[in-house]
Amino acid sequence: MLKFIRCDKRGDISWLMSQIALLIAVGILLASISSLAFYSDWQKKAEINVIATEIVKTINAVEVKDYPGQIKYMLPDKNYDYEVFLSTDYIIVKRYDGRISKEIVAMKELHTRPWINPPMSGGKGADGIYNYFGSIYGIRHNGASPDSKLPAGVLEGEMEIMANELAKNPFKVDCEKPLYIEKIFIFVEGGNEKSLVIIYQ
Amino acid sequence: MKNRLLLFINDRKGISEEFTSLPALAVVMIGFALFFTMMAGVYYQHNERVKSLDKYETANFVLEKLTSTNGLLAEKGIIVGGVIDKEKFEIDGSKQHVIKTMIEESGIVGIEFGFKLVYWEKGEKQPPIEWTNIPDNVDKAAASKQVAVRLNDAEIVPGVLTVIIWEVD
Repeated sequence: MLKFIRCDKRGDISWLMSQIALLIAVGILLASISSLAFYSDWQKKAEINVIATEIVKTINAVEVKDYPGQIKYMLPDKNYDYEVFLSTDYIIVKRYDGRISKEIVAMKELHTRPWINPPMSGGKGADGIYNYFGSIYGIRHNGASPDSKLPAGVLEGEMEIMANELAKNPFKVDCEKPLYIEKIFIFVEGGNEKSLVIIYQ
Repeated sequence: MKNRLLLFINDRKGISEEFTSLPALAVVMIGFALFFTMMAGVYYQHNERVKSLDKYETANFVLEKLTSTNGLLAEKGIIVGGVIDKEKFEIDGSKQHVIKTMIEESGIVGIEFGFKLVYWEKGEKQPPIEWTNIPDNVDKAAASKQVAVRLNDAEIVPGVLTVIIWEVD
């Protein structure tokens, strides 16, 4: 066999080997290009990154408002399933149709601390929170007006509880239902009114 | 010439075949290498641009939040009725703790910020007043807006307020 290769004076073996090498090289090149273009999950990540960015921008838009107000935010309807989680510092969007790794995660940092899924009673939004505080500290200390200020330290305590809970279990958003993002003011003893952004469904 | 062409066509030893396929392969490989280099460059530049845009959007958000009617500067009495009080804005190096407390109370998390105020007095641009906590050796982004600056009870002049943000380690 070796003698046959060495004695080949017609170049057939050389031709065959170079063609095989060429085929292997082309195969590797095509595989790398197709994996980069079709089997990579970067496009899918970019798609959910946009969803996360939109949510952050909406929260920021409510945050800079000068007056109380509410935005009803509908998560975009996509041709793939995704989940949205709200944590104290991050918006996390996940989808599970990745090719390399099933779970694809996009995270966006929040530079403020909204009050996510606050305790509410007898209503939603600001009224629900005032009612909740009213049920604990009395109607004259529900934080709804300068005449009914919330006891000092209560709000900070509630926010700390929320931060601890969300650190363990981020709030899972129901993508079928609207997300309410609302700016509220709470009057606190020993200070001015505190402006807060609350997020709930 | 005719003889040479016949030599190539009638070559049964496969020698001339090698000489044509190898340069062709080299040209293709160089083409691919250039294509990948170009794609990598475009992707890198796009990523950098997105990151940069994110930073400037964050800076603008911080500026809008802090200068809103219920923002930090209004709470501290630095902005009254949309006008910046120059005396209160100036925080010298001996009051670093004041800046630190204000940043903590601002409600902005994950980033730090400092302010710079430029104003015009009698038509002349004055030296900028800068918060003393702004470091030199970090990656920063800034956003500006036009403001009114109160110099004293009788004088309000135009100015530009800039917020400079950088990430906390």
